[in-house]
Amino acid sequence: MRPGQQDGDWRALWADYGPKLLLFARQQTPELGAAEDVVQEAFVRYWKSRQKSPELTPTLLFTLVKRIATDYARKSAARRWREAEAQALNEGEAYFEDSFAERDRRELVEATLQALPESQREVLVLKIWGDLTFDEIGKTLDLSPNTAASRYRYALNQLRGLLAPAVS
Amino acid sequence: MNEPLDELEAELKRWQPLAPGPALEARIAARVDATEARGARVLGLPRWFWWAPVGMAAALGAMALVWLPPRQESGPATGSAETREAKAAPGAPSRRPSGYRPVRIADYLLDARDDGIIYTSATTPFRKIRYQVLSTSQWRDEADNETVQVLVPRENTVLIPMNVY
Repeated sequence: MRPGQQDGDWRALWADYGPKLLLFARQQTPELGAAEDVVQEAFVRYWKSRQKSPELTPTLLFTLVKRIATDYARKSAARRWREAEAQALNEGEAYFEDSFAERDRRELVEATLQALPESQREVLVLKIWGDLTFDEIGKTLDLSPNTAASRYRYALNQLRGLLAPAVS
Repeated sequence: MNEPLDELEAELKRWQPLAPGPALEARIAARVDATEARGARVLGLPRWFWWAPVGMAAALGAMALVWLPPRQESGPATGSAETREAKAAPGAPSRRPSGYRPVRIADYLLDARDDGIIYTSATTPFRKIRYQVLSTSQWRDEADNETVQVLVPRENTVLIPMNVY
């Protein structure tokens, strides 16, 4: 946790967790606007709660994103997106930052991520980009840590075949 | 179980998630700042302070009941008030609600809650704010010095149009 986060500076927390939360939310609901709504609600709820309970860790943010996205999908047309097959991202709605030279590679990484089953993809996102441990992932997704680790390994194995040439 | 990153993990981690746009940050800022401003305005004082009007109103009501002067009855005080009124001597002024005059009317803001931004079919988003108010009114009958206090809790919902840039 950054120093600024201790003294009530929500912007420091946002700078640190905003990109991670948005990436995770987009695994729950691929539509960018809906994902932003989910992240906004989760962040504001967490921040309000932390004013009363400073001991709450930011890991809770991911749990809130998951719950709110689930509620959102139940209540709105986002269900269609959730139940749909993985769809190509629209132009300008990339997952990751890139330079012009790396655009092809970035699109390949995003396409392979989308090809993963959602259950594996969300574990991978929380582990790689959320910096969560398997224990924390388990609590966030209501899984055992062993199940989270297994899904993570499955995801990596699937990605390895597609991304290995560039990695090596 | 949490081993060091291998080559593929390192490759994936190299990609930085896209930062949320400034519009999303502005939306969060509006809600967080509104909450903190409300906290400074409403919750900055001890919570009992905001319940003080309720307590004062209740105390006033109790005092009014205790300090009511005894009624001048010609006979023994038996039966209900309606019965006593019916037994009153002919020609005596009857106590009707019309004898009461308002002496004090006040609204006390107990709490204000920001429910965030809502989107309607219109293009302009609205900020939804709920105010919890205690409306009090005090009525007095000068003829027999009776006081009645009415407390009505209310909740007002206000939609404030927002400018979007």
